[in-house]
Amino acid sequence: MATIANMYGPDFLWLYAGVIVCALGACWALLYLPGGGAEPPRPVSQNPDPYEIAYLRGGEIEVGRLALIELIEEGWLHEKVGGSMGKPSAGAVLRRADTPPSSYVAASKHKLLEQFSGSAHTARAALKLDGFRAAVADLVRPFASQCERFLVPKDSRNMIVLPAAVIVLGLGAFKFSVALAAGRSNVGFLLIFAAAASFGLWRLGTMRLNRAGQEHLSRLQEAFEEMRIAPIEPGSDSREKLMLRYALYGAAAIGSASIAHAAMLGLNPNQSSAWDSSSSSCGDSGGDSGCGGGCGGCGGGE
Amino acid sequence: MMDGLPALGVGLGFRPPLKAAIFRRRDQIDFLEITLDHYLEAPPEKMHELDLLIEHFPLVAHGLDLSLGSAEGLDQRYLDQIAALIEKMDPPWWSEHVAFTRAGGVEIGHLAPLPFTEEALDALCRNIETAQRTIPRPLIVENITYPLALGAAEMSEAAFLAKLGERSGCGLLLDATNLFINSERWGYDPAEFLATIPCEGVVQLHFVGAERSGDGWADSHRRPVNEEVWQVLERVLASCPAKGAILERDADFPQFDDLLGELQRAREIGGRYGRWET
Repeated sequence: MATIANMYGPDFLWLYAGVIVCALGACWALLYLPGGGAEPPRPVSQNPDPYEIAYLRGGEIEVGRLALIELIEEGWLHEKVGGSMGKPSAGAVLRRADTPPSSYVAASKHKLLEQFSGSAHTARAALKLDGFRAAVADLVRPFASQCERFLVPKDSRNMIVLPAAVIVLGLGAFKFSVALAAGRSNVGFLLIFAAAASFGLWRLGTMRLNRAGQEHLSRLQEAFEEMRIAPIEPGSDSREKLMLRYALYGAAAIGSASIAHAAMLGLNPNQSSAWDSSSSSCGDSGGDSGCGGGCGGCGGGE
Repeated sequence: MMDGLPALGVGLGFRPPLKAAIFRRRDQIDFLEITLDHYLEAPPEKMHELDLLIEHFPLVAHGLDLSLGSAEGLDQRYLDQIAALIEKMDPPWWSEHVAFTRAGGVEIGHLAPLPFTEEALDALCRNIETAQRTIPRPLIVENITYPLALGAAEMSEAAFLAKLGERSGCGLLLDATNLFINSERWGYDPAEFLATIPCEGVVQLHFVGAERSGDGWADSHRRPVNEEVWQVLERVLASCPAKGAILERDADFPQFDDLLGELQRAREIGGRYGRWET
C-alpha cells in the first residue's frame, strides 16, 4: 500500500487505468461471453411472440408496455377525454372501456384491465402498480424459463461487478485520500478516471443480455428489419404487426407507426425514446424516471 | 453434372424490401434466389443478412456481371469474389446469363445479347470452362431478351443454347418471361424453341409479368404474371423437368399475399406435371 500511496501521480494514473481496463474487461467477459458457443442459435420463428421479444429486449417493463398497446389496439383501453394528471410529459390518461367478456380476453389481460376498473392511470403510473406488475409477471411466466439462456443472471451480475467495483473504486478512493492528506489538490484526472470506471461498472451491472441473447435479438431485428419503418396498412394483421414492431424496435418505431399510440403511452416519437434508453440502461428496472428512485423500487423482474 | 440435383420447388428472388414478409411467410416459400452482386464487398450488416438467409432457407445463387460472353475472357477478381460467396452459400447450383456486360474493358451496365454465331459460342464455352474451374458447382445459364440481333446470326437462339449445353455441359435457367417476350418480338412459337433446346438440361425457371411497351413487351420485373406468361410457363413445365422456379419481382411490389398467390399457382402448374410436390 505504501508503494501505491507514494507513487508519482502520472504513474499511478497509468496503473489505475490498467486496473480499470482489466476489471471492466474481466467483468464483461465473465458476464457476456458465457451465453453462446455451445448451443446453436435459435432459428428465427415464423410467428415470433412479441411478448417474448419485448421481454428479451427490455424485461417486464417492456412486456407491460406491449400489453398496454395490445389493450389499446383491442379497444379495451382508451384515452380519457379531458383527463389530466397535471403532468403533460406523463402522457395521456388511460381508462378502461366496457368490461370485456372473459371469452374475449385471456385471464392475464383481464388482470391488467382490472387495474383500470376504478380509476384511470397514465401508462407510466399503471406500470408501477403492484397489481399490474403481477399481471405482467403472469404474461412472462410461459416463456421466462426458455429465455434464461439469453439473459445475464442477476446473481452473476452482483457477484462479478461488486468485487470489481470494490477494487476499482477502493483503489481510487485510497489514492484520493492520500492525495488530500498530503495537501494536494490536483486530483482531477483521478476523479475523471473513477467516474468513467463507475459508469462502466454501472453499465455492466445492468447488462441484460448475454452474447447468445444479443445475437438472438439482433437476428430477429435483422430478419424483420423492414417492419421498423414500413407503413402498417389497416388489415387483419395490423395489430400483430404493430406489436411485433414495438417488441423488436421499441418506442421510436411505434411512434413512426402510430402517433396516437405514442401519445397514449407517453412516448415522444421524434426521439429515439426516453423509455428505450432508460430501459436499456436500467435493464429490467423502472425506466420512467431515469435510474434513480424508480430503479430502486422496481428491481427484479427477470 | 446436372444429375441428382434436388427439386427445390417454387421460390422468390430475394429483395430486401420483402425480407420481413419472407421470414413471416416462409412456410410458403420453398427457396430463395440470391443475387450475388448484392453481396460483393458488402458491409458486415449486409453479410449478416446473408448469414440469416443461409440459416433459414434453401438458396440458389444468381450472378449478373460475370459477362460470360466477353471475348476478352472473365474478370478473375470478380470470379474469385463470387466464388467465395457461392462457397459460403453452398447452393446446389448457381446461374449466370448468356450475355456480355463488358467489352474492351468497358462496363456496359446491362446484359447485352450475343450474336448467335460459332465464334460467340467458342468464347462463351471458354469462359464457362474458366468459371467451372474456379467454381466447381453446377452452373446453369439463362436466356435473356434481345431487342436486336447482333451480327449475322448463324443459328437460332434455341439452337445456340442447345449447342452451348452440348459443348459446355452446363444446364439451362429458362426464363419463361424472356421466352415469351422473344417469341413475340421475333415471331416464333415457344413450342419450337422448346423442341430445339435439350429440355432435360433445364434446371431452373424464372418467371414474372411481362409489361406492355409500345406494341411489344418489356421485361420490367415489376408486373404481376400475365396470362401469356402463365401459358408459356405451363408449356415449359410440361416439357422440361425443372427442379425449381423463381418469381423474379424487383419493383412495384404488391401485397405479399399476391406474390404468394403467384408462387402457389406456379407450384400447382408444376405439380400437374410432377415437377415438384404441391
